[in-house]
Amino acid sequence: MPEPKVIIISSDDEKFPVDVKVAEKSILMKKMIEDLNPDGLEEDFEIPTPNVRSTVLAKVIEWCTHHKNTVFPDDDDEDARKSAPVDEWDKNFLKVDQEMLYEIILAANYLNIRPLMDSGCKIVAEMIRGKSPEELRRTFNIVNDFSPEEEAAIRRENEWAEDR
Amino acid sequence: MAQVIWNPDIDVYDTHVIPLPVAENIAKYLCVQDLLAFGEVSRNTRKTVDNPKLWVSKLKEMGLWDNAYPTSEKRRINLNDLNPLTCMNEIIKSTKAAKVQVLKIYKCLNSYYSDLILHKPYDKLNIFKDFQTPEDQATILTNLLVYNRIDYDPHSSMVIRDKINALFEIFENALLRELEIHYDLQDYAKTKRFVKILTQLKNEQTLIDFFLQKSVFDNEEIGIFDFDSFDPSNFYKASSSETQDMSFQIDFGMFENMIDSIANLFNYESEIIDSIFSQEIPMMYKVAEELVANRLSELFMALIDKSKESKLYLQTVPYLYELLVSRFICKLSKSDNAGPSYHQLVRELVDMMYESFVAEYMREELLAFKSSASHSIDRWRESLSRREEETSKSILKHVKVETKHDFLSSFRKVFTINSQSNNNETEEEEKSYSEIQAKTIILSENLKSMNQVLSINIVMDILGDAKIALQRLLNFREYTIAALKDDVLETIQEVFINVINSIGDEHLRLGFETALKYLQDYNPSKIKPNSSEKGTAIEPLVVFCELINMADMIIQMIDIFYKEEMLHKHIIKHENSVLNPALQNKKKLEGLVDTYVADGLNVGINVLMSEVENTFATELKKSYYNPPEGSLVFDGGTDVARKVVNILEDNFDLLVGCTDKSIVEVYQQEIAERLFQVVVKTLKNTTISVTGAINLISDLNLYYDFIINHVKANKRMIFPLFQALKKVGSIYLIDGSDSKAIGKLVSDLSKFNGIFGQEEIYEFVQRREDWLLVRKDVEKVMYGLSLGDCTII
Repeated sequence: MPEPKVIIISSDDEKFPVDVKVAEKSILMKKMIEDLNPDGLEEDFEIPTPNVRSTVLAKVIEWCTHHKNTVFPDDDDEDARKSAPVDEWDKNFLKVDQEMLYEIILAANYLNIRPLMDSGCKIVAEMIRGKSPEELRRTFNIVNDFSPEEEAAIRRENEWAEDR
Repeated sequence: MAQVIWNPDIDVYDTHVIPLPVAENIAKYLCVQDLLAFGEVSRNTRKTVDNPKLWVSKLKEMGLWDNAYPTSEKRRINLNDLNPLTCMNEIIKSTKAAKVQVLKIYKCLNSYYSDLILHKPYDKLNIFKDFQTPEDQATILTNLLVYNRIDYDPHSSMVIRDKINALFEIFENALLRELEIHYDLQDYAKTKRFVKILTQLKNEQTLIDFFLQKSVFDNEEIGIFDFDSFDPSNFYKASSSETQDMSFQIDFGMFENMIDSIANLFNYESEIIDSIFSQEIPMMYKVAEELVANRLSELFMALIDKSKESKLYLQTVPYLYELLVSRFICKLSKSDNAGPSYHQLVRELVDMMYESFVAEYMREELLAFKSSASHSIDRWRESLSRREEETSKSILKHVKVETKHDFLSSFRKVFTINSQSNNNETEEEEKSYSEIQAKTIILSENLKSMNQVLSINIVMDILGDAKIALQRLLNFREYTIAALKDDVLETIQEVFINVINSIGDEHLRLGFETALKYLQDYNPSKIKPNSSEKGTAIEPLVVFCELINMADMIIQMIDIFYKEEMLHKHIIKHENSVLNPALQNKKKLEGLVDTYVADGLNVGINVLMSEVENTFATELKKSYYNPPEGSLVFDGGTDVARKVVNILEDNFDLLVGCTDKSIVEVYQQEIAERLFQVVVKTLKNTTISVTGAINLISDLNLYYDFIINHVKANKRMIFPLFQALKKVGSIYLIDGSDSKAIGKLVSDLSKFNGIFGQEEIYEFVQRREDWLLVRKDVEKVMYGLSLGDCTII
C-alpha cells in the first residue's frame, strides 16, 4: 500500500498531493496533521488553503520539497537566523516578480514556514537597502500619507542622526 | 504589490496589505540608515520602525543590553555628549530609550564605519586621523567591531569585519613592538601602558608568550640555567680519604646557594611582573610554572642522577625537597600578580614537578632498607657460624692427634686381633671417650654461645636504619598531591613491616631454631664432667632463659619503635584496626616469639627433668632408704634429695620476670608435676626399711617444702600431690610388728587425698624391706583375708 499523502487544496481548488514530510515544513499543517491524526496518517488527508492561489502554492510546495531534509536554525536563535546570508538556492528560487515574492511571503507567514519567510524578508530588505524614502515609495508603490508637519518632524529627527 | 503596509482594519490575509509581523520581519534585516529611510515612507512604515522591540534587539546584538544600567538608577541620556570612544559605555536598559540610544551610537560611529568600506590606505583612515593615542585607537577599533554586528548587509558587514580584524592585527603587532622596546629599556611604566592596551584587546595569550620568551626562554643560558657550565659533580664533595674507594658528601653550601639563587630569580621576575602586569593576567603563575616544570626539573634531574653515582641518592632526594619546601618557598617574596595564594601555588608546582622523583625515591628507599637489613643479618650470621666453626676446630685440634692414633690403632687391631684383643679394647675405649668428650665440649661451647644467637646490637642497627629511612620519608608527608602522600605513608608502613620481617623471620626465628637444636642435643649424662663442676643450674636452660629475656627485649624495642615512630607521628590512620598492616605484623611477631618460648621451655623442662632423673638413677644408693643396721641417718634429707632440690631451685625461678606471667606459671606447674612423677617412679624402684623411712620422709618433706615455697600459682593442683607423697612415706615408718596398722593405713585411700589408687598404694607397700613378713597381715586387713588363710579342707 502506498504511503498516505497530504493533499493540499489551493483557493482555486487545485489539489497538490505531497509527502507528509514535505507538508510538515509548514508548522500550521504539521499541527493540523498531528491534531487530527494522533495515531499517524492512515489515509490521504486533505488540507484546504483558501487564501493561497495555485501558482503561489505550487511555488511554496516546490520550496518545501527542496528543503524537506534541510535542518534550519532554531526559531529562538535570532542571531543565527539574522546573520545567515540568504541561501543561494533560495535566492534564485525567489527571483520572481514583486507580486509573486510578496504573495510567497504572505503564504509563508500564513502557513508558518519560518525559513521561507526569512529568506523572502531578507530579499525585500536587500531591495530596501540604500534607497531614499521617495525611491522606496516608487519601488513598493506606497502612498505618502504624512501631513507636511509630520514629515518635517521626522526629517528633523533623522537629520540629527545623519548629521555628523 | 500591496498599496499599504499593515492596516489594523483589514483582514489578516489580504494580498494588498503587508501584515505587521511581515513588515517587522523585514525591518529586522535593515541597518540603521535604511530604517531611517523606511520610517519616512508612510505612517505605517513609521509605526513599524518605531517599535521599541526592534531597537532593543539591536542593543542586544551589540551585547550592550544585558550589562546596561537599570532604569532604576535614573541616569539621563546626554544627547550632546557624542564621543565615539565612550558612546557605548553608558547604555540604559530602557525600552523606550532604546531607539534614541542606538541612533546616538549610529551618529557617533557610522561615519568612521562607512569610511572603512572605502579603499583607502590605512594611514589615511579617519580613525587614525582623529585618534592618535594607542589607547584611543584600541577603543575606537573595538567599538567599530561591536557596531559591525548590526550591519546586515552581508557584503559590507564581511568586508568591514575583515578590515577591522586586519587593522587589529597590525595595531597589536605595533603595540607589541613598542612593548618590547620599552621592556628592553627596562622602562616598566611605559611597558605597563602597552600591556594594559593589549590586555584590553584580549591579547592575554600573546602577552604571556611574549613575557615567557623574554624572561625565561631568552635567558636560557644565564645563571643557574646555564646547563653547559653547570656541573652537578660540584655539589658532592669527595671526602678526603686516602683509601681507594672514594666516598662523597653532599655539599650543603652549594645546594643552599643554588636554592637561594633560584629564589632570587623568582623574586626578580615577580618584581618586574608586578610593575608591568595587572592581576587579570596570571603572569607570575605562568613564569613559575615554566621555571619549575621545565627548568628546575631538568636541573634537579641532573643533580639527582649525579647523586646516584656518588651513592648519595637516598640522602639527596629528601634533602633537596626539604630545601625546596622550607628554604625556597620561605625566601619567596610576595607577588601581587599571583595574589595571596602565591606561596601555596609554587609549592603545588614544586610538588607536581618533584612527584616522579619521590615515587622513584620511595621505591629505592624501601629496596635499600630491605637489602641493608638482610645484609647486616647475613653478615652477622656468617661471623657467628665462623666463630662457632673456629671454636669447634680449636677443640678438635686437641683430639685430632688422638683420632689419628685411633685410626692407626684400628689398623693395629686388625693385625693383632688375636693376640692382644683385650688390651686394645680398653685402649680404644679410652680414646673414643676423649673424642666424645671433645664433642661434648663443643656442644657446651655451643650452648654457651646460645645467648649469642640473638643480638640486640643487630636489632638496634636495623631499627636505627629504619628510623633514618622513616625520617627521610617523612619529609614528604605534607605533600600536596594526595595520592603521593598516601604512598609515602604506605611506604613507611612497608619499611616497618620489613623491620618486623627481617628481625622476626631472619633473626628471631633462626636464632630460636638454633637454640632449640642445641637444647635438644643436650644430654646431661654426657656433659656431666663439666656441669658437675659448675653447680646445679642446668646451663642450657639458664642460657635459654637469657635468650627469652633477650627476645622479650627485642619485642619491646620494636614496640617502642612502633609507638615512637609510627603512632606518635600519626602515620597510622586506624590504630587498632585490622586494616593496619603494621600492627598485624607486630602481633604476628609477638606470637612467633611466644611459640618459640613455649617450644623452648618444653625442651628445657625435658632437659631439667632428665637431669633430675639422672641424679636419682646414679646417686641414690640402696643404703639410703635401706641402711644397714644402725648407720647413716641423714639429717634433713639425703644428699640426693638435697641435690635435686638444689637443681630445681636454681632453675625454677629462671623465667620469673622475663616473660609472660602465665608462661612462668605453666612452666612451674609442669616442673612440679614432673617432679612428682619422678619421685613416684623412684619410690617404686627402691626398697625401704623402717630406719630408711626416716631418710625418705625427710626427703619427701624437702620436696614438699620446696614446692610450698616456690609454687605461687595453681597451688590447689600441686600441693595435694606432695602431701600425698608425705603420707606414702609414713607407710614405711610403721614397724613391721604392727602390720595391722600398716594394713589399716594402706586401706584408707582418703589418707592419700585420692591421688593414688588402691593398686598404686599396694605397689608402694610392696617396697617395704620386710614386705614378705608383713604381707600376710597387711593383705588380711586390705582384703579381709590373705592367701595364707586359705586352707584346703
